[in-house]
Amino acid sequence: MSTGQAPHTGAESEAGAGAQARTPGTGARQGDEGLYLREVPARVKDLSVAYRSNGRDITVAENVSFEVAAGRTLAVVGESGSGKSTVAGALLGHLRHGSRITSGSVEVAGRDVFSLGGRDLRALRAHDIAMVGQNAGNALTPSMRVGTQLEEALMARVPARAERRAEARALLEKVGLPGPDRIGRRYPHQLSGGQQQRVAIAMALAARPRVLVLDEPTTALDVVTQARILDLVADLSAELGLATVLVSHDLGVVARMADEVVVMREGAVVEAAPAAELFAAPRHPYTRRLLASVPRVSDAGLAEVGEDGTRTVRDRAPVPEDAPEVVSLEDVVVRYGRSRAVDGVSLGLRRGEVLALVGESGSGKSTLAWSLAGLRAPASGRMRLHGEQEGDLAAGARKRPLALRRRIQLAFQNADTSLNPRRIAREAVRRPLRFFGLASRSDADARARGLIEDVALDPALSDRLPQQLSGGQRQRVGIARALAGGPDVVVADEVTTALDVSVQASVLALLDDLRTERDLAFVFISHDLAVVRGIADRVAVMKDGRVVEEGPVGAVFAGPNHPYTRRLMEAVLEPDTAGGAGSDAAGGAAGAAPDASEGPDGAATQGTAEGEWIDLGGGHRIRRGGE
Amino acid sequence: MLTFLTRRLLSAAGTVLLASVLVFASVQLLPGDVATQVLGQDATPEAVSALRDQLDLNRPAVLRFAEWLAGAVRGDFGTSLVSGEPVAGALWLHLRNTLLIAAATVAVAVTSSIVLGVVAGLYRDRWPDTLISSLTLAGMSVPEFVVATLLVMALSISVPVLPAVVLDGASAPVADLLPSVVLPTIALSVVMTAYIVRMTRTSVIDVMASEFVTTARLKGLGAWRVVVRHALPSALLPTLNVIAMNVAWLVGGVVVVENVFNYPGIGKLMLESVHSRDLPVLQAVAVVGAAVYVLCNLAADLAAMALNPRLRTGERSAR
Amino acid sequence: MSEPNPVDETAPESAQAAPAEGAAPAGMVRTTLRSLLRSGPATAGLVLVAVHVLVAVLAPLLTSYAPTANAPDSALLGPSAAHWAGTDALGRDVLARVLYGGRYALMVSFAATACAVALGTVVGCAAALKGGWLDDLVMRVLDAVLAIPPILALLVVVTVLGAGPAVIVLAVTVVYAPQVVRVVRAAAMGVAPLDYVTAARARGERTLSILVREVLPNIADVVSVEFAMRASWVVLLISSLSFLGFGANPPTPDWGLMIAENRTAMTVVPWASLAPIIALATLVLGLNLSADGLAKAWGVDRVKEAR
Repeated sequence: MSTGQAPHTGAESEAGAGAQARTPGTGARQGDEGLYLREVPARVKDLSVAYRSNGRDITVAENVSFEVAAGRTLAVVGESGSGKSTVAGALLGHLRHGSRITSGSVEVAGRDVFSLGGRDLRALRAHDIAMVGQNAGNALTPSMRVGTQLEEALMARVPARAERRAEARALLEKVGLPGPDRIGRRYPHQLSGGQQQRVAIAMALAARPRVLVLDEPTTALDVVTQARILDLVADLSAELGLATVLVSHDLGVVARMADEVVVMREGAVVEAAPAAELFAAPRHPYTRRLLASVPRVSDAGLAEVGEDGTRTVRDRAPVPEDAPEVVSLEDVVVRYGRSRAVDGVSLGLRRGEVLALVGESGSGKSTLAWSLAGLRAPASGRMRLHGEQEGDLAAGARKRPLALRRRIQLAFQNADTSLNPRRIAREAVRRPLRFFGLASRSDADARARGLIEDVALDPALSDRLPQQLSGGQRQRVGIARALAGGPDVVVADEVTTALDVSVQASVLALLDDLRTERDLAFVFISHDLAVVRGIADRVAVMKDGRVVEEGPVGAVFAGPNHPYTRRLMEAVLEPDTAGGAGSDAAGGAAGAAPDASEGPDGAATQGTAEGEWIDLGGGHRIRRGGE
Repeated sequence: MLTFLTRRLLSAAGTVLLASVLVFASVQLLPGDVATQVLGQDATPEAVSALRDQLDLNRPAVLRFAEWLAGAVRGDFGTSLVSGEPVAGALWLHLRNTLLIAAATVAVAVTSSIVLGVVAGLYRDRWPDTLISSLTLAGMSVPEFVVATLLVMALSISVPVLPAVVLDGASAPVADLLPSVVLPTIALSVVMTAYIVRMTRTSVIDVMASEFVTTARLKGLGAWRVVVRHALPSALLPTLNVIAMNVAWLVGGVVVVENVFNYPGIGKLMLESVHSRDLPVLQAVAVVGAAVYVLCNLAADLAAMALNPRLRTGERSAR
Repeated sequence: MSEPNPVDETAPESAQAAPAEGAAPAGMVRTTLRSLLRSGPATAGLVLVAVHVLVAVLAPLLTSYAPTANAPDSALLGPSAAHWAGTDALGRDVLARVLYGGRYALMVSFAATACAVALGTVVGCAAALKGGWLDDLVMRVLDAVLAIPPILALLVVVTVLGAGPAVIVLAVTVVYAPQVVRVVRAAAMGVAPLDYVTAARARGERTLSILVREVLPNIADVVSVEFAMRASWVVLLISSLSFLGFGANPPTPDWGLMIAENRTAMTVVPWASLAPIIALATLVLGLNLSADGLAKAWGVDRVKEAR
């Protein structure tokens, strides 16, 4: 752990100049040419934060320093536990219960935030600095109308009520919400995630702040919505000359947004540099590893990352031409009440193949996977397992014969809940071995230990409880449990989504190894196209319960594509070293335009020439319409 | 929203119906002959058979229940075995008197407990919280008859300002009963407040730690506005249920406290009928108790709708 | 089909340098105890309950007076060297009656609470896991039982069946089990959608096996807190019954009964009422403090469901 390591560059371009130019006023606010005359409204100096637990001080941030000038965006990047969110809160003078500043200071608009009393701090928050959090669904008060909450934020600045109302309306319009009068009368739960986040942004802007703090502002959103929100934020901060602090774990987002980047790890800053420089030539090995771990859409296989951050793309083992089909789906429909979560899906999966199901939340991909695993019986259609064990998968798990049941196994997204917290890791793996009658009582323990070793875990960890394991380790145990049944097919539901990028890379490599070693077929569910590009052989893109495009991974990523697939691809953000300060595949296409599909009422207005496929050859086909 | 209301009303009616089935069943179907139970082991066979006739015990229970229910819906709960008069008359009179205490208790307990709970929650782990929480714990640890007994000792015997025992009958005018309402109300409020305060406190602490309250604070709003406009509506939601559940307890607590003060309410009526094994009265009181409880829950649900737009708008969350 | 599960949980000490503080169930008991004992109020609560249990068991050794021995010539005496807490209207030693008085309350309350919590846990888990019509039915019946105020229900049962301890245990079980069902059901429903339960369901495990292996270990904390909290209410309820004359029968020493017997003579011999009041209040206080302590140690939200 690097302790007390000062950032070796302190956003040099502005550091000195900003200080002289801090004449609070208007002149320095706009214009790019004013680079050396910028106001610097946010300064963090040597900040350390600690909280007490069991009588010990635990440091969450250590000697963090940075400055943000007006009109510039600084990104604070790090994996979980890096202390980045603590820093974000500290900018507003907010620390979590039990935390305190142990050294340093935070200066916003020329005032030392932590020396301010209640009234002054309130004034600072009402006028100079505002924050947008990760999940606007939790950040908006559920019992108040959205418009009222917005007007509240205007109270400090606009005393007259009628004016406030008009301004709130203008703000809602500004953040691209359709029908601001209608939206303003709604309660938060009546808005979609994207709309809630737009409201949160409007609320932050209401104060006309000089500093805007964005704490993982798009993490809870689908990729397409994420792209729109980021565009909106970028436009607004440029227009208003805000000093923006963006806290994120997502290097693609950072590359898209930031002018300067601060990389944090375990509470300390390991590197700080202008974004272009950092992405082109990361200096610290940790930054290099971090960057290298991010999967790219352009990789033809999984990337392997060396200790020093070197990156090699691993060759994909081709699925043999004559590989037999293990699972076939024909016109499968799965219902939730009256709605069809999966609406007529036909797919095939061959032995040793990784089939990725891609789509946004609500596309039906997880429902389809659960149905395969026997957790929800399809309403109609055929679903069969082939090979050495033939069988009908249309029945729920309990109705399947034991020998069939074990051939399809599940691995889960959330490492926190996938293991029983009261049972040690070995027991989680041992249970399916015993349950399916694959091991006798005497050798079940040894077998379980062996499986844990097979997923590249130290067998000593097999005696630990889940809470004593890291997220990545737990995820591996979950995979070992899936392997214990001796499956032909593993359904992996967003297994790497909740993991930090470096851990994600290693888990993906493990899955790839297992596939070749055991000739396993995977149904790999993900919303992350870059991950899919690396691991999958074939891709099926789902939207509103249907497959809109299907084909070999190379062909799908080469295009041409279904418009929906194209939209997903355009929304992908990557820390692309070649493209200077981040690449934005979306270009100006998405824009900040209001989007009908975000609204609760714009769900399904399409669906013309149904079931018509355009065959592009080589198994690549696109559904006509559906957009 | 209307459909929600109708559904809720129907289910409330269903609950009362089911509760009266349970009461009826436990009174009539428990092992042993009810008539013998009522009259005791050494009753003459003639007396037993006469009572069996009076209670209609020779006919199938389902039929008797149907008849009883048909009467109950019209406000006729049968005839008292002791006085030979209709149960309903005595029942409504005693219920009126009990409602005096109950209404006063609910008013006092709910107001004071929400105020105290919010204060304790806001001053978490500081002296106002410590004080309130300790008092609460004390209140929870003392049964209501002890509080009543101690109150009698303090305010009727040591400093005789309030009557220790009610001498009026059930039909006394409300004005005459009012002084006697004070002590029972205090006794019940002390215990009831203790429970509601705890819930309110926990709930306030939860909500104050929520992201939306943090957001409201970081918006630079004043503390009062953050608490009243943003936190309270959500914080009071879980409290509502606890209040409703406590009203159920109140109906029981009233039995004990009325007995201490000899107050002519439904509790005293119940105890008298237990002693005299007056089954029709007992049955009626239990069913009325259940109805009161169900009504309170209904009121709590309506209040929850007022506080929570999710329930009101009936729209699904967009996630 | 589910073979007995060898005690795998005892092993974790062998894993050196466990990173987090948590530990396996054996360790969990220890962690819980440690955090209980670190909290002053929780320790006080446990001590209070323990003292009451000890006193009830050892009562014959602590006093030479028989709790039911009348002595008309020494009636209504104030505290003295012979009678530390004085005597009541029948000349019985108040202290002796208080010492013996916990026996009835503790025994009946413990039995009733244990039955109610056990029944409630089984039904609550079944309702949560099976769902569907079973859950609907259970919840309907529960609502109806909950609607009848406990003391009214008890009085009805006691009127019909008499006031023996067995009847009271049975009646309290019926009255309080529904509330336990609610709490346990909610807790089990919190566990049921978690991925490790889903994994067991995908394996096709039987509901009973899922319940025992996956759900119960994870709601044991809720159930224990529920036990301590219910116990305090049951003690209150049973003392109320005794106070009203439907619990312990007159010569039996019992706190609720003693308060009822002696409160008319309160001005003459206040200690005859105060002593049982103090005993009763400290027992309930002890139970409440223990429940709070357990809840805090395990992070269980204790007051979500009151009464």
